[in-house]
Amino acid sequence: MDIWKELQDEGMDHALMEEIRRFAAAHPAPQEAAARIPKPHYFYYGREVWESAAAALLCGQHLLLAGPKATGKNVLAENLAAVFGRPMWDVSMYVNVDAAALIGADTLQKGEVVFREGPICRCAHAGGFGVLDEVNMARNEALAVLHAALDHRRVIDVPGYERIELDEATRFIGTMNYGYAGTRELNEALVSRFAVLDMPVISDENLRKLLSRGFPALKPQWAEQFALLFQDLRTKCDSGEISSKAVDLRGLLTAVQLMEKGLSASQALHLGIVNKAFEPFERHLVADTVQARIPQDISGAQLFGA
Amino acid sequence: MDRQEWESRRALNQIWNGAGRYTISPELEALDTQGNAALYFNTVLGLAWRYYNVSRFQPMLHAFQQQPRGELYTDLFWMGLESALYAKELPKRPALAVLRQQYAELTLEQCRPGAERESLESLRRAWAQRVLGQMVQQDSWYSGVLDALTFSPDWDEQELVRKTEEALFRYFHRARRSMTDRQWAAWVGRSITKNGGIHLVRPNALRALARGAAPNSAGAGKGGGLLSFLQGRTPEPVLRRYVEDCFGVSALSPDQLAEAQHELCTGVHRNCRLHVTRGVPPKRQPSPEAAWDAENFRRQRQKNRAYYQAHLAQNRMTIAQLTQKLQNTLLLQLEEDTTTALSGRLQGSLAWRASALGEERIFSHNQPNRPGELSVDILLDGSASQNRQQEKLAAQAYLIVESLSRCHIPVRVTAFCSVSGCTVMQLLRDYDHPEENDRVFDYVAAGWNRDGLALRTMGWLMRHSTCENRLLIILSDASPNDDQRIPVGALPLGGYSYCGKRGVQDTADEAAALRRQGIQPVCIFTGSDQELDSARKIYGHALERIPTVGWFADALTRLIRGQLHGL
Repeated sequence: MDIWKELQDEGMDHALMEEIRRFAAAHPAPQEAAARIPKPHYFYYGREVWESAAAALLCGQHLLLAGPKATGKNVLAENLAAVFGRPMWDVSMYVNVDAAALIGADTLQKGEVVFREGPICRCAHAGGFGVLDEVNMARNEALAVLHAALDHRRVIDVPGYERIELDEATRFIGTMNYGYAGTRELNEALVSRFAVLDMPVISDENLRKLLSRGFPALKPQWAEQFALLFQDLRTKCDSGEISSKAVDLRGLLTAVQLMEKGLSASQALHLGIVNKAFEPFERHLVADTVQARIPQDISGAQLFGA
Repeated sequence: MDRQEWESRRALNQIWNGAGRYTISPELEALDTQGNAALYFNTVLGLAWRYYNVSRFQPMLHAFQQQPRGELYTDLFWMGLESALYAKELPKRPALAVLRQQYAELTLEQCRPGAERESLESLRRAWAQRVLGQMVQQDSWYSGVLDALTFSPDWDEQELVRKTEEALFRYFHRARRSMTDRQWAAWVGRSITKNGGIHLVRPNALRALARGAAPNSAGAGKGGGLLSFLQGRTPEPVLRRYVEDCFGVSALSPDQLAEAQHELCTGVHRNCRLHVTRGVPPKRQPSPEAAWDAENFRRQRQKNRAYYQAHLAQNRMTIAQLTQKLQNTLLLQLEEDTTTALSGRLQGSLAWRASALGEERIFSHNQPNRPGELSVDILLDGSASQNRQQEKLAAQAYLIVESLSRCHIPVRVTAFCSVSGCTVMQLLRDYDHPEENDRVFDYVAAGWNRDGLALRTMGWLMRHSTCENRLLIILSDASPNDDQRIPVGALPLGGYSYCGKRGVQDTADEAAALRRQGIQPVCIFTGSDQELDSARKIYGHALERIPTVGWFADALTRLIRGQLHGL
């Protein structure tokens, strides 16, 4: 996928694109971290979001991508790291994440106590993009260690060690899903250190594009049906009839991928979508919705090809 | 949910999916002969809502319902509409072709070949054969009916009704009655809207017992001005018999009750009495008045359960969400414990062991500890002011109880009301009895409510809980109102009504007293805008107002989290 061409097709502001190019050229990634620059498989569609995110990052801001499930938060984060030419560190947040897991911890090496850097420190040194995935799953106390790194000070102060200054190109991108049952609110001190981007739900048109570009062999007629299936599931979820488990864009893309590899539509859609709902009644409702859009016995030849 | 309800709800979902809207209330749903929801036909029913103004078909369909062959006519109309909808939707939904074929195959299997001529079964069979491209019987009547029922996708509602009328007239000799149909529909199809409908409020089921005399069914409940001025008390035996007949025998021994009343019925509650019950009926015939009330309660309990079942999918979803959110909240509350580890923060006191003993576990690492014990009490306002939302309140209480049970948090549910100065506390579900969750639906609303005394009694009951953290969730409209007056001095005259500002102030004082005892009262507000100020005065920030059940999980978790942080 040529991400620059996709951006051009999306109609992104040329001046901004030029700025990004200049930024990437001015901050080449260190050799040892070059392998961490992502090569995205999917492109994030949405010109306005692209422009807002790029402008904020260029101005030195850290980004908080907030939105419900399946809005492409991680796809956008990965895409941004790719166009800015930054190595990326993915830090999954969970309730037991503590400062040591983020910054690093002491350990013994050849009889000496040494500080073993955590992902945040490594990202800070290498001028990378640190993606704090599901940032609102972690306790606010654990995240407090990032405050100095995220505000104008741009430093990480580890007691007993030297202060680590963030490389000029380092940015942090938090993602948060306020719809998950397990998540909670971030405190104001942390939120104030981010530029917050409210991620819109992917439109039918963009989902069709995503499917068509991700699976060029998929016939447009069926790309449209998969997009509509996703919309049907989302409407059902919004109406409270099913949970958000089956409204799973990654699962839908996986299902299409499996179909392309030759798995039957029924099996692939069960693996990717239907079986995500564990409650039997909910699973029936999801299966009915799928069946009303995609025939169970449709063959690969009917779905893919010229 | 039994199988029938399951399939019915599933059918409804299929219709909503076809319609693309979840706010419609279809009058029909398609089930096959095995009772399974028929995906294809339910999708078609839903598509009708997507493409047509279905209310325009209602006059004719309602008229069919009143006719001997109404079921046949209705099915024929939908058979015709199916052809139009299929043609409209197929280009947008290719899967419909497969679904239609599967439905036709199933129909063919289920309809006997030798069915009676002109019967619905034989027509359905002919329709299925035609869809599957099989030879239709060499009978011009069948092909004529099927041709007449092949409606064009271009016809509008009026044309579709006209064509149906024509087909029924021609092949079934049904008179055209569109004018009569319209008149009939003016009554049958009419829906009463929230704004325009007549609102009936059920009467208070409990009666005020006469003060100082045996209850008289004719005079009961008609207390005059003088009686309300007196601080009189209904004779003990009369009152006890009545509340036992209505709510069940006392769960306290006479000594325990006397002790509780001595401790709690003081100050503004001096002339009040208490009745704490688990709902066990007395072993005697109830009095006629109480029997009437008890029968009302029995009917209400059935309604509570039916209401929950009617919203089952949403309720189950809320329970799942609430359980997950509560678990997360509890997880976040876990205290951390420090253990030695191979990496982490260097422990100076252990550092020597590395060089001297070659030991590498000289670092400390934090790990979550066991949560502190938490018990939750739910107090339901069971007074007549909740008459119009008893089902909703019972369902909300059940959602909390079921979610807390799934998180293994001890929970007890108590409903309170007051009758003739006696505050009745009904223990619907006790701690450590998850098998009793269903008893929450035994909640009924009747009588008055002396909120201050109810909170005070809850504090007394909760003192027996051994858990270190105690939370009290109150579902109430924060509108205290009791017919037992607030006494002034020792005279049995005068006093103030227990309502308005005085009632609110007393309840606020009791809520503050609970907080001082380490019990956190939080309120899920069930009242109107007018009572919101009172609720804020009593519960402060520990208050949530929930517009619909969809907000329930978020709001309740927020309340519980707020309280847990304060513990």
